[in-house]
Amino acid sequence: MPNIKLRSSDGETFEVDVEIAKCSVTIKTMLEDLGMDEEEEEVVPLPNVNSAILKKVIQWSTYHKDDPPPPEDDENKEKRTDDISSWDADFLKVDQGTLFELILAANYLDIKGLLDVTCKTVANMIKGKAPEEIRKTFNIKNDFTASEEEQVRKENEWCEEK
Amino acid sequence: MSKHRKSGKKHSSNSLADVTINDFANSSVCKYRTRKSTTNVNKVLKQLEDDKNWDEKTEDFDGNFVEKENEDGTISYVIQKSEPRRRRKTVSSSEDRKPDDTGNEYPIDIWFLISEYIRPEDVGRFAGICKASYEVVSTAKFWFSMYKRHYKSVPNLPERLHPECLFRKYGIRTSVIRALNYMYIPFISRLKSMERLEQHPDILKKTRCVLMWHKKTDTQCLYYFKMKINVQSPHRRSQKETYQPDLLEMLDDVFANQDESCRILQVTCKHLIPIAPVLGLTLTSAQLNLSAELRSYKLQLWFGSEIQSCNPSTGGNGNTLIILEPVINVKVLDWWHPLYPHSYNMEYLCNQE
Repeated sequence: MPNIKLRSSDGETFEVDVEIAKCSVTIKTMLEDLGMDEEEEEVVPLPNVNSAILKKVIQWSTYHKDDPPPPEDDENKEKRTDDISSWDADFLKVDQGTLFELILAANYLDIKGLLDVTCKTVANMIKGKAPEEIRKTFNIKNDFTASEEEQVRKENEWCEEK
Repeated sequence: MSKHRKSGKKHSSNSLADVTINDFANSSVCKYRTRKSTTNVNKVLKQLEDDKNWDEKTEDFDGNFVEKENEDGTISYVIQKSEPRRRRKTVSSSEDRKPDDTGNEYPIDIWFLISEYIRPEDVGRFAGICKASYEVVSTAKFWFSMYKRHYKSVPNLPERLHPECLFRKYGIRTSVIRALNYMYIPFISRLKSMERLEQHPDILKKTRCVLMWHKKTDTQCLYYFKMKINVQSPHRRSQKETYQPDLLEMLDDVFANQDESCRILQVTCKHLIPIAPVLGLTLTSAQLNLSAELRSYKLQLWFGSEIQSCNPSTGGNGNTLIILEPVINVKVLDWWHPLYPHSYNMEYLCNQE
């Protein structure tokens, strides 16, 4: 199997199977459009993904390389969040910062399956929690003032459970 | 060559050949050159920066490229983190800034991606995380997407909440929330469970009656009191006082809702009872008792001016009392409730009753 080199933002180079790298639509398009030959020793720079995240992305792509292509998004269908496989659930038992970085990387690399599962994981972690709890869970800065926070709460009384 | 050329400039044509682009660009005499403006360059750069995707932006990049020689002799560039830059804070003097300024900030794109998976009942929690998540919830895209994901053809969905009618940004949030209460099963179940726990009209105390009307059917008479919360949040009030949006901005107002802060008190009586007009008055007290015949209720509503409602010591002086008896049913309806009356569903609601 031909390999391809991927370089992370912090300069680390990873050699991976081309088929695994092509899980990323961004890399696939790059290889096709730029005519980068699979036998060439070209290195694909990925300036928005650091080595730790790239490593995780490669790990995920290696496991899912034989998966059928994900179905096109049906915007008229409710998105389920309870269909995460046990392997993915274990894979995503990471700190919250890594989880958010994986979403950004999956979006940049255009890996739909990984983007889906990471977003679902975050959405599941938000379910039923108060904003303060969510901020604490994900270590997110609270940039609201007290009055703004109260305004947001009032605006969303319609979805409060009574 | 013009004959009117001034004598002092005679040499210019001779020396023209010697002028380089560099001399021209750096000339101290620059009458006809387009003015170089750094602010414009900045503006263009800022515009370009704004048009970029989050991953292309450089403003948050805090590292330097450092040349590094690889083992095979090739040269590569690695990013070396620089000292963290101090972020500028924009603290509004009138607002109370929280001391807790720790934690991460994520780009708005991440919140857009996650928002696609947020359940309707989690919208408030999601919006309350940070300003970026709130901004996502304030977009028309979020609400159109929420509607499409949960749209179901239900027989009682009013026509104006059908997909073919929901294409404008104006008031889209309001319409989608209303539609969800017809289509989204957890919300339907919530409404059903709330029906069992009827709200006492006392919860409308200190709200002002902005509209009242009644509708008589063959078997009963329905009284409607549209009650509005008197006090606006200081944030919204100051925003409204200082900022006047133009018409186009108003048409794009995703949050537009004429019934914001309004609730309807719906009272079903066995027959028509004449009542005093209480428009503009504030509800000071409400009592709902079982009537003497034990098969219906007696509803007493005291209305007064806003001052009286704030000062209960004024007693009953100047209060307007409405007594409705025999009452079959009392409902307090929020603006998102399917039974909340509008011009478009009044007929339907009355037939239902």
